Amino acid sequence: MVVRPYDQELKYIEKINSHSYRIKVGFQPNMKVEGIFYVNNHLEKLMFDELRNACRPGQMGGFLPGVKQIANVAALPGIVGRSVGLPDIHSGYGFAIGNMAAFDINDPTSIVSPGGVGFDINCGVRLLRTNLFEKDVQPVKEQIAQSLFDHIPVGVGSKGIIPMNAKDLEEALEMGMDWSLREGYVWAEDKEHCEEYGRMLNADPSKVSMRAKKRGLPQLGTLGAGNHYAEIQVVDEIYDKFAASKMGIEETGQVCVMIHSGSRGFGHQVATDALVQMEKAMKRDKIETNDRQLACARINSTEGQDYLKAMAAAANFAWVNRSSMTFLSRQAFAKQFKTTPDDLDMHVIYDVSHNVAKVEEHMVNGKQKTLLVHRKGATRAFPPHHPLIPVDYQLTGQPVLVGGTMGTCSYVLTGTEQGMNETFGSTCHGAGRALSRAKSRRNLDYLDVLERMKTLGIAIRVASPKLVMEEAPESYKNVTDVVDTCHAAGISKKCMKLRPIAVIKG
Amino acid sequence: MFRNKLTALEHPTPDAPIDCSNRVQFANTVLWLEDQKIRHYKIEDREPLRAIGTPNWEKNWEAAYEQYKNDVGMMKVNGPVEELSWLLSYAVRLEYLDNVETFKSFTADRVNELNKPSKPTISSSNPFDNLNLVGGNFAACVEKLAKRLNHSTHVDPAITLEASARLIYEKLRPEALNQPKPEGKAFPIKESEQFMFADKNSDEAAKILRLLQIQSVRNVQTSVNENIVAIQEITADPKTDSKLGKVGF
Repeated sequence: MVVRPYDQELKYIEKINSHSYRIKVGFQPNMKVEGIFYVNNHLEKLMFDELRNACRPGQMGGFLPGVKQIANVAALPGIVGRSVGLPDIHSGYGFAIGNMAAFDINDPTSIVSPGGVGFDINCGVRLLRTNLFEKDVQPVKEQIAQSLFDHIPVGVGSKGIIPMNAKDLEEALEMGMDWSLREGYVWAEDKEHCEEYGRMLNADPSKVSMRAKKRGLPQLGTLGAGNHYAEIQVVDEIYDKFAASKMGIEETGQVCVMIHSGSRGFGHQVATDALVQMEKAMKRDKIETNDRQLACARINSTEGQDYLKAMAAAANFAWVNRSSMTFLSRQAFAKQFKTTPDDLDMHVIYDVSHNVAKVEEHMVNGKQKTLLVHRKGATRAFPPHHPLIPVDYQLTGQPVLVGGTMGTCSYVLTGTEQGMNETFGSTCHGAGRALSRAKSRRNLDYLDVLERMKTLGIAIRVASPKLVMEEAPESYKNVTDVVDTCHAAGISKKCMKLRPIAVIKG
Repeated sequence: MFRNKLTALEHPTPDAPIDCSNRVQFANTVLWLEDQKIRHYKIEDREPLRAIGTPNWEKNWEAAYEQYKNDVGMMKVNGPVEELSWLLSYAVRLEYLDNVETFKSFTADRVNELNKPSKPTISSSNPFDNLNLVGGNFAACVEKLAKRLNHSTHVDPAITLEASARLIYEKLRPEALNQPKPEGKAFPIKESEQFMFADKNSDEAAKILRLLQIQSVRNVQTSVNENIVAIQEITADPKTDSKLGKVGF
């Protein structure tokens, strides 16, 4: 990292408009393109504070500040357009979480980087609607929270309750949600409301290590820990009536279920295995990066292809995982209300992926190009009329599900044409961490956090309460700031706001 | 020659004329009749008749054939043509006697009836099959129908008629009439922002086409879903086992 005094660093950062900043070439060595990040007044302060702290003499170790990470990504071979930082950006391994970057597949030097996908491959959010209203659920929210908690295994080291053997896992890795469909865990309509139809076709389970499979097998159908959760939410405000009604949401007060989960230990192991391989590939192909954490390989090298195939298998794992939890949530609701999930109209509104690299077609300087788009802590947000979004959302644009932090609200946005042009159809994914996990543990008391939930009228079930302060709203940026920034910058459009009434956490 | 009798006997090549002056062909036909149909001799006794085509076979074969004629009781006839004709008739008679019950009902009248060219007995129930699609009358009527249904016409009346048919199918058939009106608001097509063209009318036309296309993709998706559900009927067997579960630490 280049260390300059703070005021000199600022010369490389230029305000474009009220909601975005440009990072000029030269901020970090070898930058091939510019960087851009989206913020509002509140978030901007966090970004610049982080940079100022990093500029103080003697500050070494830990993650680089987000702006530096955006610039380092802009120095990777084959990058096109800009390295984009979204409003919820915070430091991560290699790429910042909330950073997206696209690489030209037809450029032989272009790379794929596991750091640009993240360890929780295809971590994502799924939103189910119901035809229930708040008044139906409020009186029984404690029971239904308990019922969900009993149905969905949560927490570190939790194990799934859907019987699976090694052969089932192989098939699930290859088939993704088609496996869940075949086995009858989900509905046919679920598949159409899922990114990629819930299956990455290039998945190849033979490229996944034995170790990853061993870790993954017992964890399928479990929520996990950390920031993962299942929430019962109530529609609080509707901003775009037409888009909301396309999603089956007619009025405020309607009850939804949000599931936020990923590929558990399986994805983590796939990423770890790939990083080892890629360090070798970098030496062989003489790929230079500004940060050792940005380990990568050429897209068309064996290591690059193997990673993409294993990553696709992990993505499929995550979809099967969310599908299994969809099944369990439907059962929990059906039992509580003594009816069937069909009668509760528990359809999947949409399922988005936060951590994934995908091959997409985009316009770059007026030319159509095939790109490998890395989205880490970023959500795809395709505009209306895009061929890859479900037919039901052709007029509204793709739904973007933005999960808030525990106890705060969540949002549903839709994709816009401007987002397609500016950010390769990407937008924010959540609140984004403001305090590190360690800092949260030091500064907050878990009993206070649980008490706060109670006063907010939120039923909460936690598998490991002593870790709950890591996920407290104080540890995160304000999701409303994040979403408002995306809306104001035009890279996605607000559709509705949801507020939790019950939370299940790891 | 002998086509009818050979057909009746299910000879493999009834249409190929048998040349009775060719002794090899003649001998082969006799042998086929004995082997397949007449079966007067035991299999091992047919050996002398079988020796066709070997060097100097004629002498032995003719002797065996003379004996065969006597044994099957052929009456005195003139030359190989009549001889073969008699043998074929004899074989047909044997076949008939084997299955009298089956063949009894085949009287001349019955056969005549069977041979009548079968007329198409199903008269078309679709009145459109008999429509004259070119006359001026047709065009005028189609236009009248379109006016009645309140949709625009095309220069080709067949296309106009297709549009009318579609409108009737989508909106006026009993199933469509009984369907509840879709809930929610319609897409505000007139107020929505520019889609493709600066010209307002072209843009509206483009939007309408887009909506129609979305509708047809929706239909495709629905039928895909129906197929998935049909297959799920066979494959689906969701199971859970709460004994496997382990929550937290």
